[in-house]
Amino acid sequence: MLKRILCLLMLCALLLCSAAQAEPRYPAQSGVTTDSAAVLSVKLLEDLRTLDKRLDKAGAPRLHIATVDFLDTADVQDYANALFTRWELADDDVLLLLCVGEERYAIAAGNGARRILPDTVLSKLMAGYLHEAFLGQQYDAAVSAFATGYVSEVCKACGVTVKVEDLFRSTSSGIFGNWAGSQKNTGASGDGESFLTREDKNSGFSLLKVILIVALLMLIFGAFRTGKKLRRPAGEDAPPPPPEAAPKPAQAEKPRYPVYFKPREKKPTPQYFKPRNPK
Amino acid sequence: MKISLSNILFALLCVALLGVALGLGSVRGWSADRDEILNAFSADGELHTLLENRGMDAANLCVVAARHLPENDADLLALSATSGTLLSGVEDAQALLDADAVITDVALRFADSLPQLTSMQQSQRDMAYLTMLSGSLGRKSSLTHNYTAMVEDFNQQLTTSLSGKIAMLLGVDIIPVPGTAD
Repeated sequence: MLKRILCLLMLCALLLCSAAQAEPRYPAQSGVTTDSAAVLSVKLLEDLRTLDKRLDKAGAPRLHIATVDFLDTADVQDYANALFTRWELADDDVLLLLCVGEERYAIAAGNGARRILPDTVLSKLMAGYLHEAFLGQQYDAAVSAFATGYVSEVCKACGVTVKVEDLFRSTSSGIFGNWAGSQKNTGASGDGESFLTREDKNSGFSLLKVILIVALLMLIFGAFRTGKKLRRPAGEDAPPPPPEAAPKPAQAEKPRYPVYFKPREKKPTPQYFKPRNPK
Repeated sequence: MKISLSNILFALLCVALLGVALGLGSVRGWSADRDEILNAFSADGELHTLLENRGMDAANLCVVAARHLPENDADLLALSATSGTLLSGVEDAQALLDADAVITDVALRFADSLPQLTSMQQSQRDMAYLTMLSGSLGRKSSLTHNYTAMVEDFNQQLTTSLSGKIAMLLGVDIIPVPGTAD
C-alpha cells in the first residue's frame, strides 16, 4: 500500500516537474534547410534545395534539415518531434535535427514517411552516414553523406530514380571515407553491409578504389624494378629516374611495358648454371 | 445661493464620496501595479521570458563547460543548480535574483578560466559558444537590472504622485529594492 502511495506521489512529482519545465526556443523554419547554427556551407544549402525539388518531383518523402546550437534542456527526440509539429511538416516528410552544441541528432518523420522508411532504416542511415562526420564536426560532410544515403534508401523503397551525382561534390571525398569508417566502427552487419554494397554501386567508389590501388601497386613495383635496373648505368648516388624518362640508351626509346617484362623473359638461370657446369 | 443645512450636508457628502472614490481608485490601481511587479517572474509576468532565456543559456553553458571540466567542478555544479532554479517555476523574486547573480558570477569566471584549458583551445566551436553564452550571461545581470528598474520606477511614482501618496496613506507600501542593484 505504502509503495503504491509512493509511486503515485512520484508520478505526481514527475508530472509537476514536466509541467513546470520551460519550453525550449525553437527556430523559425526557413525553407527545406534551417541552418540556425550556421554550420552548413552555402553550396550545400543550394544542393539540398536542388535535392528537395528532385525528391518532390519524384514523389518521394522530402528531407528537411534543421541545425540548432542547443536544445535548451529538452530531449533531442522530443525537440525534433516538437519542431516537426511546429513547422507543420507533411505526413510523408522527414526532419533531420542536428544539435551542434550538444553533439546530438535525431530524426522525426511523419507516419507516411515511416511506412516507406521504417525506424530501423532511419537509425542505420544516421549511424552509417552521419554519426562519425557529425561528431568530427564535419557538418557539411555529415549532411551530404546522410542525404546521399537517404536518397539511395528512398529510391530503393519507392522505386524511383533521383539523381544526386551532380550534388554534394565539394564534400564527397570526405563523405565516403567517414562513412566507410563509421560502418566499420558501428559493426554494421546484414543490412549494413547491403548499404555498403548499394552505395558502392551507386557511387562507383569500389571501382575507383580498385583502380587507385592497382595504379599505386604498379607505380611502386614498377619504380622499384625500373630503379633496380637503372641503378647501374645512372650511378650509385643518383636517384632512380622515372620509368618514362629512363636514360638507359638501349631502353630509352622503348615503351615501358617491354622494359617491365624483359627481365622476366631473360631470366638469369642459364647464366647461373653456366659456371656450375664447368665444375 | 441659499446656504442651508441640507446643501452643506449634500456638499460634504459629495466631497466624501469623491474622497472615497479617489482613495479606492488609488489603492486598487497602485496595488495592482505592485502585484504586477512582485509577480514579474510568474508565468505571465513581464520578466518571465527573460528569466527563462537566462536559465536556458545557463544550462547550455553547462553543456559546453562539462565537456572540459570535471563532473564535480564547483562552478559547474553551481551553474547547473542555479539554472535549474530559474527554470523550475519558482516565483520568489529574491531567490531568483540570487540565483541570477550566481549565474552572472560563474559565467564571468568561466569566460576567464575556460579559455586557458588546452581542450578548450582545441575546439573552435566551444570557444565560440563560450564567448557567446558567457557574454550574454555575464553582462551585469540584466534580470536584476530590469527588476530593480521596475521597482525603483514604481517606488518613485508612488511617493511623488498625489494618488500614490493617497494609496500610501491607505496602506500600499513601497517595494524593497533588491540589494544587488547596479
